[in-house]
Amino acid sequence: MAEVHVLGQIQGARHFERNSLFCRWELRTGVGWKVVTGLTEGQTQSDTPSCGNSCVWAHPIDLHLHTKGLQDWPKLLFEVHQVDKYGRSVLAGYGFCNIPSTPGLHNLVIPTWRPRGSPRDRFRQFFLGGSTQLSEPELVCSSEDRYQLSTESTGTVLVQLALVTTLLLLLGALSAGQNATEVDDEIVTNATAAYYEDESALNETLLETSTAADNEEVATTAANASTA
Amino acid sequence: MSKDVSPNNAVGRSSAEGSSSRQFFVVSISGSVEAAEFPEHDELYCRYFVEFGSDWQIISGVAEGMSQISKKSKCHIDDRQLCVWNLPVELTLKSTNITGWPKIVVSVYGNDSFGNDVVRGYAWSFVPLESTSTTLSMPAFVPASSSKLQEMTAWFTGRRPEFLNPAIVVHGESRELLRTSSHGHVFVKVNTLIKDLSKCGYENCYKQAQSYSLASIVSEMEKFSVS
Repeated sequence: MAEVHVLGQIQGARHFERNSLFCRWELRTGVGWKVVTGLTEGQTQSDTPSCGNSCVWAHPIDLHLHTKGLQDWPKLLFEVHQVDKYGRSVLAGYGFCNIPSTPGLHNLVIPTWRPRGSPRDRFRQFFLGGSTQLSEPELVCSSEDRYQLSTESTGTVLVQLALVTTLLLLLGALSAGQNATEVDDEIVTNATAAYYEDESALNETLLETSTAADNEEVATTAANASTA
Repeated sequence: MSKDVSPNNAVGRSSAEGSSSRQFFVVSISGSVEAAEFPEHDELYCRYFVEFGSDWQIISGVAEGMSQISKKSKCHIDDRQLCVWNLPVELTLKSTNITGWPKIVVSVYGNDSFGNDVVRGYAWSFVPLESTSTTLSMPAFVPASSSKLQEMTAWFTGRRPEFLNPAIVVHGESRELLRTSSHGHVFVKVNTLIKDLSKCGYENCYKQAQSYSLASIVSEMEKFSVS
């Protein structure tokens, strides 16, 4: 039972071929995560920088997420498109990043890629424009095999995120070292049972989030909770 | 603003508690809108305001201000080419909810060649979420005209596209309709001090050197116990 606040902005992008760019972004959360407030997807403005080669989006991200466990940490997906002066948009790159897992300020630099078509497609694109796109954009953040896909690298997206979390400390996720000898098991059990409304939720949560170092402690606590 | 959920409901605190026992945290912002760097424009002034959510209240200070008109330095060895304002920002807020964390929005204006007051850029940034002293470098963008004809008309008449309410730059809705061009940066120095954030149960920075004993975790949990 932890909460994560993600506040920040999609600052902009650089190193792309053309500088008129916009980006479509989406938050992908896994099982056990819930979005309390905040927009989970959107499209930034299309910016054309007059000097320099990085375009400015300054798109706000203000999310409040709630999770029952540590797995399936949410991801941000980006699809960058370039705009020409006639208003046509062409895919410039796909990218994704994981939301950072430690509280604090993070400056993320996300490299992007786009699929290369066959030589015939590339020949056509040279004269007519357009680009090859993925038929399933989920491939960007999934762990499936991509070996049949040929891609070229394009520019980078810059994102600045600040994270504030609640109770990740309780889940043991942020501890640097724990002294098991100082603990009175009964205090832990009573306090945790009082916090959670039912014992089944307690067992589920504690067992879900145990790390290798904490396994023994968690098992002891869970056993005490079931006997209490 | 999307609807806010106070942390009382989310972390299992009793909803029967009155507002007098609700834990507030206090954010104190002090700093200044220092300068702007716009290579193509000169004689600029700015207006800033601090945008925050509905769960936040001002304890002291003002949330907005307007600067003097500043011209770049004539000194030939100063190649920074900054318009310096040093406009003080002093504000203290309190809240129970991280959602709606304050953001500083700066709008930069100047005169065009016909003497009309036009907007040169909008820039914004979140106030830092840790107690820190930093200079925020915010890139500024200005809305672009939707057609060539409108661009020429705007250049003649001095009525360039601008936002009716500059707060729109900190909202994510309907940004896809906007076309912008970016011309420069605004530098804002901010000293942030945050009080009682950990008492409300939030962790805003990762203290790697500390080791947390289970006893201290237990005492933290007792503050959240459902009565």
